[in-house]
Amino acid sequence: MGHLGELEQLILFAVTALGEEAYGGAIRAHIEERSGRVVSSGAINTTLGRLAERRLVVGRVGTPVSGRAGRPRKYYALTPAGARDLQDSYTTIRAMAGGVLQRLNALAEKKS
Amino acid sequence: MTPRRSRVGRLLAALLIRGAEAPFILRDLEDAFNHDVARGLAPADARRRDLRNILASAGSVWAGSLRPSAWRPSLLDVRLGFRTIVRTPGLSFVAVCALAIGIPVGLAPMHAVDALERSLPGDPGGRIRTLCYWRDSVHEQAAAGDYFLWRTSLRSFGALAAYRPTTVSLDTGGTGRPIPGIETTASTFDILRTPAMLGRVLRADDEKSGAPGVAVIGHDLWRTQFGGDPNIVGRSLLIGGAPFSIVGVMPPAFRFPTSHELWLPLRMSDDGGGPRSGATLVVFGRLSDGATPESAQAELQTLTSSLAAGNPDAFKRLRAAVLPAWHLTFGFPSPGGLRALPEFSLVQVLMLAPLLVACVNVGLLILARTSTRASEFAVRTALGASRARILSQVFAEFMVLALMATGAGLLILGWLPGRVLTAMGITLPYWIDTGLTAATVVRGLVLAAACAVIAGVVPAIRMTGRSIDANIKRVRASRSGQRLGGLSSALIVIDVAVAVVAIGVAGGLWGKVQATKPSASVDGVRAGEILSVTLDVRSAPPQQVARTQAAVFDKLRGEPDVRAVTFATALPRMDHPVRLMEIDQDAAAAAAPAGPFKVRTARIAIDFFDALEQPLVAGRGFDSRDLVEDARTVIVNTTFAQRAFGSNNPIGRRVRQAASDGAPVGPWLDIVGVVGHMGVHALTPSQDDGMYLPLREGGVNPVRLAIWVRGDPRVLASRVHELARAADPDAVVAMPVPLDEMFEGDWYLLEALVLGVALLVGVLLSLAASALYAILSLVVSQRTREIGIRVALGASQWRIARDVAARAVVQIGVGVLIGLPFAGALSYEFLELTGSGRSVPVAVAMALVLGVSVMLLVSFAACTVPTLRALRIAPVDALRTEG
Repeated sequence: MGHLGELEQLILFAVTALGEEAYGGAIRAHIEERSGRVVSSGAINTTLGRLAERRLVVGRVGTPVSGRAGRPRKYYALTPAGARDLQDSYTTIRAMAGGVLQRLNALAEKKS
Repeated sequence: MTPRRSRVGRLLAALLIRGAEAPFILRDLEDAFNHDVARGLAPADARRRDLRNILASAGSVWAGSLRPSAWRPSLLDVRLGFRTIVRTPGLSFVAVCALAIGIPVGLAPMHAVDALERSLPGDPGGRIRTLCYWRDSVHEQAAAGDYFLWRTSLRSFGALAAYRPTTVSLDTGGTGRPIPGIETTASTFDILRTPAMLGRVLRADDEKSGAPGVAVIGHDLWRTQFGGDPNIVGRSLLIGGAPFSIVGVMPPAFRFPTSHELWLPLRMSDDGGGPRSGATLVVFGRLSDGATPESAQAELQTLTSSLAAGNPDAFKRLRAAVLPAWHLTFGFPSPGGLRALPEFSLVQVLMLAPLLVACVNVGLLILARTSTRASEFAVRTALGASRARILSQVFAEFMVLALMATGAGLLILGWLPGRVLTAMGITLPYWIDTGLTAATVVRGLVLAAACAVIAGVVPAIRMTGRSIDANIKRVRASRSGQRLGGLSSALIVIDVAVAVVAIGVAGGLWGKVQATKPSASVDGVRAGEILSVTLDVRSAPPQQVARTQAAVFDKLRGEPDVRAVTFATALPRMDHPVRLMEIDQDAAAAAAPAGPFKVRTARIAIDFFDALEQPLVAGRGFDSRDLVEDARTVIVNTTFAQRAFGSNNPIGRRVRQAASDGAPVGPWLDIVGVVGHMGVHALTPSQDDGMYLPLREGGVNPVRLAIWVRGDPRVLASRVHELARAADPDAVVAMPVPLDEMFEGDWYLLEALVLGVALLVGVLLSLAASALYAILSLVVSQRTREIGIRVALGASQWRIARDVAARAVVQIGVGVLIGLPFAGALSYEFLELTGSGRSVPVAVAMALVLGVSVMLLVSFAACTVPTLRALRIAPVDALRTEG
């Protein structure tokens, strides 16, 4: 199992959620909408490149759209290895969080 | 109205975001901007955010391409490299051969300097140093007086030693065998820390006047001359007729200072008479504990400065130097060593030029091949391969090729020089090893990487420098007849220009050798009939030297086979020392050029020209009037007369020695005669300015004798020894060699060098021709569709062929025009060919005509074959097959 960083996890979740429509812009928008986190396009592209190098995602070139200088989008999909790594990461978080959430909430609500 | 992205942002994005992923990233940036606008962000804020996204994306793209992992060639790349070599064996063979020749040539200068500039055996720290003087840029050896003073004054040296080289005649079976040896102080062996293999080394007692004559012999001499006799110590040895007792045999690896086999005690009767006086000696020593070369240099300079204050004339412009020990055997080229010579940089650049030419040519061939791989690169890019990935693969592919060439080149470099030198009978100093060193291997690897970049990666950068769309469009375009573009034209022009320069220089060098090779027809000296010997009268006052010399000359003149005997400090074709001379400007005509001139000088007997049957061109020869103290007369050669005085009469004009800064040194000298070329330099015997001063008997010791013999001069060699010994038991005759054989080694070397250069140029020319053919035929074959259309439209075949050929002729013409001035400049300035007669320009012109003809023929073939093929195809077929 390879270690996944936080942004990598977010991107992999977004790719899974978006299915066939997982391209850079959509992934960024999805992360912003669901997590409220503002992520730059550069960070998204770099992370996607790294994930592709690790063969956790695979890219395919979409059909060029007229009116946008013929530029295509690059769509990403989770590979089985990517799915396993994401599953492992999520399981680890859940295992660690089990039984401590209540206490965590209480601590967070406490005035410092 | 929908807000739009800023122009600046789009321009920045187009400029900064490059590579295979660029289209997707640009699309993402548009999407991100639209998304921001759609969710209600103010247009100004959306544009600001867009700009931040652009910069962040550009940063990530560039950071990604610079990531080492992006460039790291993998094992797969190496495998692909081998596969490419197997798939294109012809191209790979040509490339490996070209680089395997170019790489050792490029490495040779530094390798040679590494081999020469190394410490003596047993002195890994370089603690053994030599002490000498420099006057301006000319080395001056120490004198006996300097040695005695330094030995007692300098604290930086634990021990000092002095020696002078000598070639003695070893009497064996009635014949004299010349043996290189040195007369040296006993401290030499302490400093070198080398004990004798048998017996003992020299001792301080042996140096005393009146002590029995002793000798230490080398291992080779012991083995060859005495059959390796284990009881050699105590046996007697006849040197020049005098008995010497052998006291020791040195180990096989010891031949100090270079390739010497005999060590005799150096006997000096007094302390040399103070600094800068006494016999000329080579002085060296071992630094004492705690001393550094810098501290020793400072101490010596302080001593020299204090001496100069007391005797400013003797020490004028004189600088003392403490230098590495290898200077002992290489004629002290410059205080900084060989690397510091400007000539070395020039040689290094010239020796790297063939490799650059090879790289450019291999690059051209690769470009031709790479252009056929453009579709492969485009597809791989479309499938997601980054530009860095493709470039690293090409680099790895070519690195395999370059490493094969480097391996072959290093093997050549490690093996060949030693064999060539052995075959030529040249013995290197005993401590030199021409084998490969780690530094040379590392330099070889660096050159291999540079070759891989120049010849492999640069063409690939050109082929992968666009986006996927552009690459695919380009592939389509190239199929439909587009040309390779300006890069190929530029490379062809450079290629031809460099080939022209190389051919010109090779032609010039060949012409120079032919024009200046010493022969009786060139300088009038019948060197094959003249025996050259050195007569050394040891440990004798000047009057005794003069008497002995006169007696030896008389005895020689009485020999039936001797036609003439004369003497000088240097004989024709030997290297005469250079002096800077200025001419008397006041008396000079307005047309006379300003000095100072570099003039090679020798002191000669007054009958020198008569004895060698060299008639004076103008004025008179020397006679007894010129030997009086204040005579101050000189004879110049025709080259100097022509250069300094033009068409004016030089007789009666005056010359004076000058320092490099133009300051006069010494008195004015009257020119009384002009003589033809007799050779004042070993390699350019008939070209240099020459000047002769009169020399009386006993004027110098040792002195060079020229003995003109009827028949074979070698036969007289042993007789000369006998006559000299009969005249004076202290007289030693050394180096008896026919004059024409003295320089055979030099000429053999020079001719081998010319042959090597010719071979190299031949290989480069072949390579340039094949690269030219590959590129031109590719360019023409890519125009098949165009030719088909023009034929269909009714263009004449002649006109089409002319158009195709015109482009090649223009490229070659531009290359020739660029190369010619450089070829001319190098031939005439660097090689100093001016004044060598018509043969050199003719040789240069012939070589250039030959080279350019080859280029034109190759271009003609490269254009003709694909053009004819294109013309033979029916226009419709051409359109169908290439469209």
